[in-house]
Amino acid sequence: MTRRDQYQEQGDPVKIGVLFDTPEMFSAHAERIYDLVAEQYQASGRFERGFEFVKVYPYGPPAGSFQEVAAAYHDLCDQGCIAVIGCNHADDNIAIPPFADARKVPVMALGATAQGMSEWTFSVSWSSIPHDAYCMASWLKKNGHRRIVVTWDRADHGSEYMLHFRIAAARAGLQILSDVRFPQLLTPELPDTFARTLEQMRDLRPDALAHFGTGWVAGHWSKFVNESDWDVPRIMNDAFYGASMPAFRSWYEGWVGVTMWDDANKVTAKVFDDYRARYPDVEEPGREMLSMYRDAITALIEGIILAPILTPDGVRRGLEMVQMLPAACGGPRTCISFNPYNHRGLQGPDVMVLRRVRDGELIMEGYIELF
Amino acid sequence: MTRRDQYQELGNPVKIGVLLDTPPKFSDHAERIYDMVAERYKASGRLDRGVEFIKRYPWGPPAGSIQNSINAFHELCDLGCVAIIGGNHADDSIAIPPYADARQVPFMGLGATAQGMSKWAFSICWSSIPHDVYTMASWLKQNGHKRIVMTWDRADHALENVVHFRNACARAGIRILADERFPQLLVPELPQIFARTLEEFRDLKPDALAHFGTGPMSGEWAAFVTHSGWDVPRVMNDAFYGAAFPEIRANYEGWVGTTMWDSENQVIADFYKEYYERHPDAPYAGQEMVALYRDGVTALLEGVALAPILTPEGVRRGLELVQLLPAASGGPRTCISFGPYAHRGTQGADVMVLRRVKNGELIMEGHIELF
Repeated sequence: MTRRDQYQEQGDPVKIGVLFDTPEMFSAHAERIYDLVAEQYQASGRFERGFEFVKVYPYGPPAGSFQEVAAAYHDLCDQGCIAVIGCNHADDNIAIPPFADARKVPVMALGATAQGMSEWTFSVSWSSIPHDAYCMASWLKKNGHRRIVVTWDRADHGSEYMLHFRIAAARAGLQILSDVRFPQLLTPELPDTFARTLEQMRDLRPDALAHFGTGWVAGHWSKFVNESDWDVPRIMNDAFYGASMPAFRSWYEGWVGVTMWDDANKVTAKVFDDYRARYPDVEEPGREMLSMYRDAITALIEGIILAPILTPDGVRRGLEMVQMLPAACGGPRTCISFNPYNHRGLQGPDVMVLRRVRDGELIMEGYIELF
Repeated sequence: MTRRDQYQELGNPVKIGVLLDTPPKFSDHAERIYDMVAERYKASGRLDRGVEFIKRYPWGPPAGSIQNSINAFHELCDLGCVAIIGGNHADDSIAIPPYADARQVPFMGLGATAQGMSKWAFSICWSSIPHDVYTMASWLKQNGHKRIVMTWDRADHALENVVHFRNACARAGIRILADERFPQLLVPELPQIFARTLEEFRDLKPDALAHFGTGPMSGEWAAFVTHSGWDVPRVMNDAFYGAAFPEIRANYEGWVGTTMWDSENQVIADFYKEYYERHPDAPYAGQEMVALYRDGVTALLEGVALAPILTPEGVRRGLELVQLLPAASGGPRTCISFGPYAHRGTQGADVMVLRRVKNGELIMEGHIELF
């Protein structure tokens, strides 16, 4: 409380809650990217009062509990944040909307799921499950791979991949011969599960193997297949992100994968250069991760600038005015728009693009051919 | 009521309501296109029970009453339709969603507005107001037109154009010197209003004129400016559709306009050819309109094909599974996707493209440069 004259001073910064539910190898980059984008907005003069990021770090899924994430969200609301960015993990994204609708504080959710939007929940997604599944089906179709075996994992959004992939496969004329659902976490039985699966699937003589992963199991499976003598054409969803880390890239040799990093996207290139210039001493971030955090915070800040009033409801209405922002994620003409009852921000056929690891290099493999 | 054995017969066709709220010069084409697309789905085996279209022709806006369209919607629900396609008019697209939510029958709105989605209302739009506006702002920016004047009309969704256009101009560094709101209908005073507006605007020496129209009044204004001798650079929203008609194209000489017809889009090129092969005696139709009706009914039938159960609720869930359908509307990589809380179907940077009337020809003018 105060008797100061609030008409005579400069505006307080806007409080934005930041919900970090990822390991530090991701969240540390996110913190720097958010600061960088906020500084750029403040310097542009488009939002003079600037931003204060209020941060929480719950121990959430897959190993932790969603309840910690929900508690962290409430904590940010209690502290007066008018919007919250994060969570990343799809389980959190699926679970948080009812809480956001009850608290009426907008959430900019960052997970791949397309099941996480609501009146108060928006999405700028790290990977996009429907785009991902159709991109993979397109690659299989284009390459004449009609008889497919599929592996996936026990995450809830593992089912979402499969739901869309089954529809895409039917439309593309692909036949799914068999599917095996792996554990979501790195359980001790994995090698045995992998060995049995590989043997059974090889016997079916499929044209290709498609994998839908949600974490590190995907990297171990890709490595396991590579180290076997089964040189089947193979493609993976955005769990392929591991291939962008030089230390792990060899695990993905020979795999095609879906990613949000397109060499031809100049927005990505500029963000990457800006980041390297601002933080010369930190480890180089994967461009996909960098793009996603940049796009999400940019969309949120645009929504705050367009908010008719700086309340949570004002930010929700501002976000619904955000249109056609050039995105760093995906192909060069990917853009971000929201509307009332249209809270999936990343739009366009090339939200996801295809890459491949060949001779240790992570090269472009092409785009979806709409079918 | 019957004692026939419903396990021994082939499935009854799915009842789909068709709310035709446009003049016959549009709706006659819509009826033929809907039949043609439905025949193809049936022939493909993907919807073997086929569909039965139940049609209503309300005297709706702009001259008639929105209540007539609402009554027609209720009547189609009462007749047991599991989904309803149309209305076209943005006023109807804005007004019907609460009734769709109350009746819990999915409604595929076809108007340009982005304010017409709800839990039960989906959108495949004839023009898309946000895309339209940002595409125009991009053209102005690309051509160095920084000081502009603006005309619009009294329709509710004309205001939607202006709200987005003001945001787009702020982002693009464009100043709006003056704006004039015209009547929505062809009132007798139009020539005097046009004359006064033109005189006032010309005195401001703007770089360009931007017009946002919602009906044939736009054609009158286009002709008035063209014949006035004021050769200002000028751009119009999708009210530019009038330029697709050869007999009135001269009214639009020198104007640039947004449209959903891209010469590079093979989906519309193929469909347009097939439409006239199937209906050689049909009168002329603009490609944009053919594309819109083809996309609207295709998206709806995909949703019906994906519905887990043939109830209105099943169709709603089926529609939310429609992903990445190639669209006839817009640029060649425009696509159609829905999801829960993502009911704006037509997606991509090039939902709207730019054309120009030059020497009586309606030629391509380019695409948005995202900014």
